Amino acid sequence: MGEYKLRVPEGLGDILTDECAAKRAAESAIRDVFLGYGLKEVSTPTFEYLDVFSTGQNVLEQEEMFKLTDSKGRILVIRPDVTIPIARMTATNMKDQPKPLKLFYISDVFREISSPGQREFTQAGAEIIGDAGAEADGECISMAVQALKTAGIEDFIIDIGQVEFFESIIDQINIPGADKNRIRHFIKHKNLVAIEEFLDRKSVNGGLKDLLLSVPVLYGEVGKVLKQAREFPLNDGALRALEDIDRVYRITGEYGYDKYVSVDLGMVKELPYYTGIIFKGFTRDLGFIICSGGRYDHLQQEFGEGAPATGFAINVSRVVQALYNQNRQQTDENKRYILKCTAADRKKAINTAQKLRAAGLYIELCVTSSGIEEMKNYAVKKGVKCIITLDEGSRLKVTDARTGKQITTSVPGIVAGISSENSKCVLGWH
Amino acid sequence: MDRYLKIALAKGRIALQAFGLFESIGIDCSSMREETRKLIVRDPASMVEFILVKPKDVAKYVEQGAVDMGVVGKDTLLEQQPDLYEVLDLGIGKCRMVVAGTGESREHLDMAVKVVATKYPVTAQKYFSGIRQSIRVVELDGSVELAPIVGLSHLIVDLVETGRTLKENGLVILDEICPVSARLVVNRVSLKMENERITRVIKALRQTLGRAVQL
Repeated sequence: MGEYKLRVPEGLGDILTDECAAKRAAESAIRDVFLGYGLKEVSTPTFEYLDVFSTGQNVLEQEEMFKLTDSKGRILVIRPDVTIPIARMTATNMKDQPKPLKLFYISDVFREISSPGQREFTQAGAEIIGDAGAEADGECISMAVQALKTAGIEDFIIDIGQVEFFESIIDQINIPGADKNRIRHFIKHKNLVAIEEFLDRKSVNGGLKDLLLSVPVLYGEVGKVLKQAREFPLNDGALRALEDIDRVYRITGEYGYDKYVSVDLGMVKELPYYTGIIFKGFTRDLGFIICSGGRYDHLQQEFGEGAPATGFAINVSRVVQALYNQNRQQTDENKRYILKCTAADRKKAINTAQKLRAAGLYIELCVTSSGIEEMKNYAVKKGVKCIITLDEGSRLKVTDARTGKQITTSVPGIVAGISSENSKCVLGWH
Repeated sequence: MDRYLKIALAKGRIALQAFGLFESIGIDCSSMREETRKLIVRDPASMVEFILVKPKDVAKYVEQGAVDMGVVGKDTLLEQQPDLYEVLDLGIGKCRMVVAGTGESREHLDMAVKVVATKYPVTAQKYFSGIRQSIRVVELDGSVELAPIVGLSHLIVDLVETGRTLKENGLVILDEICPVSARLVVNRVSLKMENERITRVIKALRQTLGRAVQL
């Protein structure tokens, strides 16, 4: 018996009742949105061979993955990401299905070192495989907007970028890959001081220097930023990237979601597999990114079946945290009742409970000799608002656990109460 | 503007110098200077809230969104490599990150495995792997310059401002790793969600700093 008996590993945690309910509600809202766009759900194994994740593009650092060895000494990895297994799955088991494939998943992922506090978290993600067009990128961003809205998040932004904008500019300078990584790193951190020092050291001057120093600050409202960017002398690659952003932005506008979209041309590829449009979502009262995604046209090729692809994942655990911070967690307390009976009238109580459950209510049956006062205390502590007791015939008594106010009604009466808009509960609580 | 813009500062000299900068762009820091025991002080006129924390903790507050911005030494950023925007060199708290040792330490540079005492293990490992040398790090919390004198390590990696402490302890600088100064950092979400206010602060500070440099 060690000192860890009462602990859970860092970055993991129990999810207690209210949070769990909120999490499932968010997942279910997001699932409904994905289904509504015609996507189909898939699920990949909880662990897979390390080889799957050791792609040429090195998406995940080896120290980020939890590893196991099987009885034959092969190294397995506990699902650190879902996009890569889906690329494997679609390039093998689904390779003969008509494209584009539109898939989604809701899965737990595990990272050995990750953003603070999370070594296990839930991702709800969508992938569109076999569509190279802006249509697919625009649809992904619109789905992300709708999923976050439906999950209850308000006041959020989807910030989009295009990796080819920076990549084609930096290709104009003849420097080794390691130097490109450094300047990419500085751009990512909007570190203008370091960029300037770097460019001076490499004797990059004139228009190109001005442009590279502007890239990190070219962010904000899409129309305005694209206009500012076009004032610089840009090469074809960079211009194409701007046109791509414009096309995708217009699609989000057709959905009526453009007000949620902003642009950041200084958004560089953080994952080496990104090839085009990339985006991140964030909201007020949460300092972390809640969703991210983008186009990854070369990943499928790693598994032998080249196909353009784009997708994103919502970090459901963070969505729940944001809902909590914004005081928007959904509760199911209006559906929740305690049905108290004694052993003698249990059969009638069970019969009543089943009818109420069939109508979608949550009934905790308490077969007890305790009096109503005791039950009221119990209910208040548990956050249940009403106690139902059996009365003459098919009549039921409903007692407000807090005030003691009582009415006599019936099964249909209780059910009608929950379904009517203005009084969600029979006694008129809100 | 219903919400305070939160700025984390490292307690001590850097905070006092930073107040000077913030005052020059119209944020009132007088209550900060007066109520020195308080850890949170607000200026309702500019809707700015200052939070005083340990130097090592500033980047954590910013990265995790507990505050919107922070003033933090480049030494801490190099060591912790937090995921945030590093938008401005404030030009205060200037010093250098160096490798130092006793007079004989130059010989140690040729040893297969050197022992290096430091408060900055990541920075030390990075520097030595950059020059293709292996080291063993002894992580200390302070008075690092003692380590080579008492035989705890061959070398140290530490910050020096004037170099006087090193000299008084009979140590010499063997190499300079990088210059260090205080940086203005911004949470990645805040920069976008509070774009207007934060950009205004950055621009105003940049202007002030530009003037300071010209003087």
